[in-house]
Amino acid sequence: MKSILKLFAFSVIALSCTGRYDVNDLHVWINDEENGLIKERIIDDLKLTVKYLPPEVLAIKELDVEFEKAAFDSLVQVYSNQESFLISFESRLENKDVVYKNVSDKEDYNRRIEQLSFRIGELISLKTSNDKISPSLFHYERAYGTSKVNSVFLVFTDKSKKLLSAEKLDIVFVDEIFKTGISHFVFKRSDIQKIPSLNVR
Amino acid sequence: MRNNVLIENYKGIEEIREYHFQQLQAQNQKLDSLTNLYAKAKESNSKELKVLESELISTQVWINNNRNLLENPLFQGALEQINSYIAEYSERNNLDLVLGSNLEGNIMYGRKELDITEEILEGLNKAYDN
Repeated sequence: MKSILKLFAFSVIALSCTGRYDVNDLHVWINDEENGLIKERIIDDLKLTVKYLPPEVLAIKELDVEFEKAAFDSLVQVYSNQESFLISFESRLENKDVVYKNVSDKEDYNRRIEQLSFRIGELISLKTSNDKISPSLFHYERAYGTSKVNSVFLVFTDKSKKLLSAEKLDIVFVDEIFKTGISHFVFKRSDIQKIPSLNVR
Repeated sequence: MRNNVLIENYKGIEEIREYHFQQLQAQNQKLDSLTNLYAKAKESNSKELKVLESELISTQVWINNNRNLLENPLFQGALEQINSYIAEYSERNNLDLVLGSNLEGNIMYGRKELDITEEILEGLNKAYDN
């Protein structure tokens, strides 16, 4: 609820200006598959989605309803040193939390939660033409049965910062959790560079 | 459609084959080094003997259980990827039925014009590369 209020308040502020995107428009842009920032694979009944998260979106999420532009700019700068993604899992046919999908007993369920919470960092990597990087940070957003979708927030960094200029970012998911094989989600730098600027004053 | 051609040439299976091989190789190396450590620990009657023994057994069990690529859940997942793509392809092209030939001889002959293997394989690999 708090985050919805934040988004709403920010939109009102941003809408008073013209020429650039407000935060809602930016979300619409990111969620439009044609812009290349959201990739999807459907395997059997499971929908896997990976979304690119630009620094501006991360900064807005962290800030309060009212904020100084300087605070926003400073957070954007911090988040510009990393590449962030959100990977989501959803059952297309079953109307229940995907975490229960094909789970046979409590032990099986606990194993899945453990994989999503702690092991997923070993199962996901980011490949560029030169490197293969494991996430430096990952966080499983548990749904506790309240949503069909389960997501994991992923952050990739490298000391040399070559990652930030790589032409292609290939998220590779070795799915030992839902057992859907290996999937690739490829993002192009040219698409990332087209992300519109946020209107912040 | 020729099932064996799809399975042999699908990039999703090639990658799993490589991944499976690397995993097995890593576990075999672990087994070798554990075997050496265990032998040394036995000679010196070390306190770590029991721990090493249990690690040795669990590594051996892992190797035995995961030796066969066809039983690897990732391999089964890749087959699901093929099936999902064929279902999507069929819907897109208004196909009511797709027949797959294999070496068991359930389809003995089909005219070349009816064979969609190459088209499926091309689309499947393109989708895999995303």
